[in-house]
Amino acid sequence: MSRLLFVMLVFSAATAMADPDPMTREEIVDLAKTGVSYSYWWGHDQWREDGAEHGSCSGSCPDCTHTGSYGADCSGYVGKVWQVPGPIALTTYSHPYSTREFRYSSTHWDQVSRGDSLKADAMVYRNSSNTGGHVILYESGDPWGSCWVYEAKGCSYGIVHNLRSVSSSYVTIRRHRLESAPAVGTVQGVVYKDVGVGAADMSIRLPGAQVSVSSGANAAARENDAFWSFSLAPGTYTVTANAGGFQGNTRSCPVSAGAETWCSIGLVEDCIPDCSGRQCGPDPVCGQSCGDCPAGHACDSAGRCICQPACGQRECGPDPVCGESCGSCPPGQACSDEGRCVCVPDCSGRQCGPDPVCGADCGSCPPGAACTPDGRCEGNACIPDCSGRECGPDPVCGQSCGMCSAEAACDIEGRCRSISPSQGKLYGYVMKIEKTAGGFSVTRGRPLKDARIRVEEFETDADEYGYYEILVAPGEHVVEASHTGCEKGRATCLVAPGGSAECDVPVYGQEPEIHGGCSTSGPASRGPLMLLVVLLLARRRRAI
Amino acid sequence: MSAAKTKTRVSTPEAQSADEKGEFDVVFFAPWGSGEGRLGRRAAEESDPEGPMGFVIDDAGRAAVLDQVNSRVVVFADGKQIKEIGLPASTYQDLERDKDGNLVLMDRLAQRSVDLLDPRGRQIARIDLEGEGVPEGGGTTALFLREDGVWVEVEHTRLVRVADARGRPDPKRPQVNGRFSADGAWLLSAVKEGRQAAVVLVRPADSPGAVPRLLSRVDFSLPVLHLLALESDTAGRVLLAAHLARFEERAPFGVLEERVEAVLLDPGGAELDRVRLEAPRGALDQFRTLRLSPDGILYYLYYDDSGVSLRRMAI
Repeated sequence: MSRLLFVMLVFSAATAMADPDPMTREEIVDLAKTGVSYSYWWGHDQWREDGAEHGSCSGSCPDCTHTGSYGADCSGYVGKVWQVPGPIALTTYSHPYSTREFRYSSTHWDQVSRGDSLKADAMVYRNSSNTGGHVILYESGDPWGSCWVYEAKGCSYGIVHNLRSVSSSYVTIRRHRLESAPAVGTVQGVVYKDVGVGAADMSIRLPGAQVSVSSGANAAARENDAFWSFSLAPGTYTVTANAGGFQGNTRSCPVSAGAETWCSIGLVEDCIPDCSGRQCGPDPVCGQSCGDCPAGHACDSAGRCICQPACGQRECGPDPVCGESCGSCPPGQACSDEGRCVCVPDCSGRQCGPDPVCGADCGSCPPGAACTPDGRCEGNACIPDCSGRECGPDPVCGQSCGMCSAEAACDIEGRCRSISPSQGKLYGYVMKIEKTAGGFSVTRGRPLKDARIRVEEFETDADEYGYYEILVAPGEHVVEASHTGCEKGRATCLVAPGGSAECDVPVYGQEPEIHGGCSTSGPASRGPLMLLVVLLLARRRRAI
Repeated sequence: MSAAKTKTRVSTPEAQSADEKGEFDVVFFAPWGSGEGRLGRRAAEESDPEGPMGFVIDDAGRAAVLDQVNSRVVVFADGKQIKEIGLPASTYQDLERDKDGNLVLMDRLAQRSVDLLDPRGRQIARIDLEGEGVPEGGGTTALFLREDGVWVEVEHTRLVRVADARGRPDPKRPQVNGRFSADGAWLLSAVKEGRQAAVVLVRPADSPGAVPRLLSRVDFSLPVLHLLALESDTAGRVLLAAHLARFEERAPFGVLEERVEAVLLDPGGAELDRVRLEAPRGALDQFRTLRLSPDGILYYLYYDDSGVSLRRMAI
């Protein structure tokens, strides 16, 4: 019998000394939750997982009165949720340890620093006379440093879960063989509004901001102080914070085992651009674009689109883009549509000859009158008589009374008549060709007095510009022109029945003249002059 | 208020500044016990040792102490007990008292209720503590009686109004972040930050959803074990108190230094004063042991092996 007792004692001692089975912190807390609301029962440690039969306690322990089959005191409760020394059913009485063992032994637990308390650690107090104590199961802290704990608080309270302060008399103890290794650290901080000076001013907190860690964990920053915290394995993590109305921010935060790393994150408020009064360029608040200017415009510092004049080669007048002046012309010049300053002729008081400013033509004098150097026509001017005539030269001065269309011909009475099929109209100019110092000059359509046209037996006078018309039989004709002081010239032209043909005819002068009059040309000049006439008249013949 | 004549200096060796200005009046001293003028403690084996959970000062300077161990409220004046009000339970943990002497008591763990008692201790009303805004009675951290009703604080972060001004349950149970300042203008909250500091945050009371602004960051002289009080007076001054302790770095992690430190801030957050108070010697569970009266007097419920004293200090 005594031997059996000895074996039992040895077995019991060995069991008590062996490490407890592994547990996670979560498993411990889950067991603790099952005991909440059960009665305080001094010296006991059993309750049901289904929460039934709470029991009751009255009086002051240890002389209290308990009724019911379930309940626990503080040390029985912690020993049972810790499952020490070994696995045992919640409903089975065991109560192997009192606060004395929890405080002063280390069989299945060790003391750790209060500051390192983690979930499922216990905190134990033993009074100075070593006659009593209390032990609680730590769950977490709160913003004040108070502790959420599970405890068999006392007869009046039972087993409770509550937030309380824990005096310095309590020592933290940690169960052996916790599967969640304590080699974790804490990264924590607050989310604050970055007002431009970073962490130097964290006065405005952003509660509710979303904080996430590269490990995958995430949480909302705490109410009031925007505090956040994560327990993580040692390493370096990227922590990101986001809040509505703010730009997200990220920090790289190292985590060391057993240490608290502060890694507060500042968020810059989302900028609200202010483009009021601006068309373009960056807004002065956020630097975001207020818009682009249309082509040909540039943005000034006030955010207005300013038209950029495009004068290019223009020297005057409005530029074609903005309408702004490209410059002004000096006196005596005017701005052309192309923006060039051009000379403005001054023919005031002048009837003829070049204007004194630009050299432009101020007009010509009528037949019989000559242009003086100051631009006046002097001499006996002939007075033309075109009465009853619409074409051809007037019979007095030989000045033109008008020209007929190509389909009509001017008859001898100066009227335009349709061309009969038995006739054709030859018309054109008497061209005076002169040799000049620089080559040849050809006068066509300019005043040419007293030119005469002869086609076979028919003759007619050209008007003062050298223009003529003559009706001939259809077919090829040699048209001969003569002019006072000039050598006669000829042209051969072909006219169809009822048709008309332009047929300019040359006369040859030797020296330049301004208004009519020719000098006899010498034979030496005829060769080149003839070549020029051939070239000029070739077109006429082809046109017939 | 006529205080007891005893004056005691703060005895912590580092508290030079408190020695210079830390003289306090002892409003009363109550030996441990259950008789008249005594206050109870519960030091039962294998359970939570308890002392008086809290107190409240009325306009006349009388101190009503929650002597829940003896299921009563004891009122002290002129250094002695003048009144005792019996309570229906021994599990209350915070109290308030109105001008008529009615009591508001919070039992956050056993009944999980707020009880309204008349000056003779007769129950007027019982309001369920748990409900909208209060998921768990054990998470409440303070009780406040205001002209607009009864508020309870949850996890030191928000207030929930559980009863209206007439003591009727508030079905809407409105919530605000923080706790009201004495002048009602602000919502205050405090948060331990790091090992040895805390921050005080404020919101305008008329904008309870506003982003909180930092009023002040308070660095303490030792690591913070837990914050003890966040109070204010009608002048807008804010008092933040913390229980501080430094432990050995290795087992058995004995206490090397310990004290209570209270820092007074002006309305702008600048530190006006700092006093170091002796920490109680023991493990008694208490709930609310430091208050600032509306006129700016600090009251501190201190205990040692001989009993309990209420200390008063003008700061």
